Amino acid sequence: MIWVYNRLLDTLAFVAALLIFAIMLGVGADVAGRYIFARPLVWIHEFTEYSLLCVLSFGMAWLVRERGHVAIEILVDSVPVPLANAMKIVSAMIACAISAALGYWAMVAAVGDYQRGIETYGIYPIPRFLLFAVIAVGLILTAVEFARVVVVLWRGGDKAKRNDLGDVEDKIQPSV
Amino acid sequence: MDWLLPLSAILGGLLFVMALGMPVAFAFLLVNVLGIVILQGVGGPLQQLVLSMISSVASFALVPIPLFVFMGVVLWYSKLGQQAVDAIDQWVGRLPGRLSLLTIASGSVFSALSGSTMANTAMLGTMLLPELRRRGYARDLSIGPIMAGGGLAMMIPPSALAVILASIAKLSIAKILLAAIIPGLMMALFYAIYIIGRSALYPEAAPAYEVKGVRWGERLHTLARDLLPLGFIVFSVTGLMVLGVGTPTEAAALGALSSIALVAFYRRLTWGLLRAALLDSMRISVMTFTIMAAAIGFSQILAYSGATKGLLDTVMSANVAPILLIIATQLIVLVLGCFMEQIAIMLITLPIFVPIVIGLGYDPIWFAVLMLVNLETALMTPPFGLLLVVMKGVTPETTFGQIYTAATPYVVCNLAVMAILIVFPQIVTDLLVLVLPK
Repeated sequence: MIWVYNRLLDTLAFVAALLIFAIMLGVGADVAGRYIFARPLVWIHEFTEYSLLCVLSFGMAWLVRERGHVAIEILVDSVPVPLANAMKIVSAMIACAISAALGYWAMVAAVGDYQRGIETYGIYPIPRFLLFAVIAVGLILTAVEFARVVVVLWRGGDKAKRNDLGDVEDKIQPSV
Repeated sequence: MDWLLPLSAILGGLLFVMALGMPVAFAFLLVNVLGIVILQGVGGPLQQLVLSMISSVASFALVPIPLFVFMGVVLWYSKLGQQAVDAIDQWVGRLPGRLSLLTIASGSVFSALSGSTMANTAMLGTMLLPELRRRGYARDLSIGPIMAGGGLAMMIPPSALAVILASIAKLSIAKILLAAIIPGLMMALFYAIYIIGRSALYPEAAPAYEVKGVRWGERLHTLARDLLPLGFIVFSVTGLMVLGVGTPTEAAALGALSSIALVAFYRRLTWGLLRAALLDSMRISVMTFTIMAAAIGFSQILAYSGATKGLLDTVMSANVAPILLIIATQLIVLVLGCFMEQIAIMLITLPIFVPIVIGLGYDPIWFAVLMLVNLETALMTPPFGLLLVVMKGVTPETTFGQIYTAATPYVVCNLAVMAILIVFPQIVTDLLVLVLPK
């Protein structure tokens, strides 16, 4: 079961990466279409915006699992290990609760929009509940991942115990 | 001073949960949700917050972030940088501290091709640090230029952080990208002046070595083969923006496609490279977008609680020279930079600083450029500058104290550039008028 869940996160993350490639090709084709063929891709603007939302939503939980969300760990690194673990557990529990709460309200908004048939503004309107549903799924999966972090920390094991280079790689990865 | 309590509660709460080690994005989310529940209640306002989060990310203007990062990682994985360094090496001549100068020159060139500070620094470190150490260069002339040269990616377009800053401050992305070029080049020049001066005064810090003579014909051939084609990428990004042909988003897409085309031209494009580059860009983009989506409510809560207006009124009525207030904002950023990550600093400070800067009558683009120089400096300020940690990982036998010392001259160079920009803001504002398409 956990294997299937992990594969789901991996697949969503891969789709997010492919969407970045699709955005690149789409915007490039739009510029070429406009300047060379005088026929811009009028749908690209909206496609790009929705794709960015999907990139966030599909990658958010995966990044929690990869410990890729940037955190300020000055204090955590300088206190005794048991206290640091307790701090990490508390912060992961709060992050889990806040993601779950917002995921719930996103789902409520999605249901409300679906019932009222609200659509987005734009050249090609789409049902707005889809946007709420996408972010709701991302937030709920993120809450699940934070819950898993809490369990791992509670059992006393975490990826955090690495060599120096591992720490450096952690710090390099999530930086712009 | 009714605004002081909400401001203290909001900022204090945020810093407290961040100190617990909670990911920055979720710390912002917590403060936003609590603020909304206290000020507006549950239900509708929370659904509105989710809608704001969607709007903040589903924005055409944010496309350059993944694509600028993609350009950097493609350059890194394809190892196109090595041939560029070899080409630049033939043109450095026999100047004192030539390897350090080569590092800065290469860092500047890579900065015009990559939007990622980390990719830039990693490239320079991998390619040049072994040679710098083998030649016996002092630390401030070996690891120092790698950190400083790597950080230039934040200033010279394509710069992902400049796009993030513009988005948070709600300023023109194109203007900030173009306005940061000259200060970025000034920083590179100051680094070079320091290196030449230090190497000339203390030759033992940068031991001279026999440089193989290369004929002009060969130099020009290498230049045309290995370096000039990279200009295609620079033109695709900066050139198109200057000519007014494309928006930053379109320039980013064309720049990213140019990177792929160039890597294919040099026969280095593989499925593995493309996959790794896309996954890296996705990872960094998701991290950035999560913070930006989570922080969208922050400025709204500051405004709704009256904190922004109260602070603004107090500052505007204070009997202090406006320029001192600008300097104070930069000192705050400099101190925060010692402990916090760049995007978090921007999200906390910009919603407060930008209205003050505009209220005082200063050009917000000029202020944004000052912030960028300051944030680049933050990468090298102890105790937790990100590049210092990277360098510690690359050179484990070096102590943190030695790394801090090596970075100090370049931090001073950045501060000097900031001082010049404060005294002569026209370096940014007037040049921007000249460069921007009418």
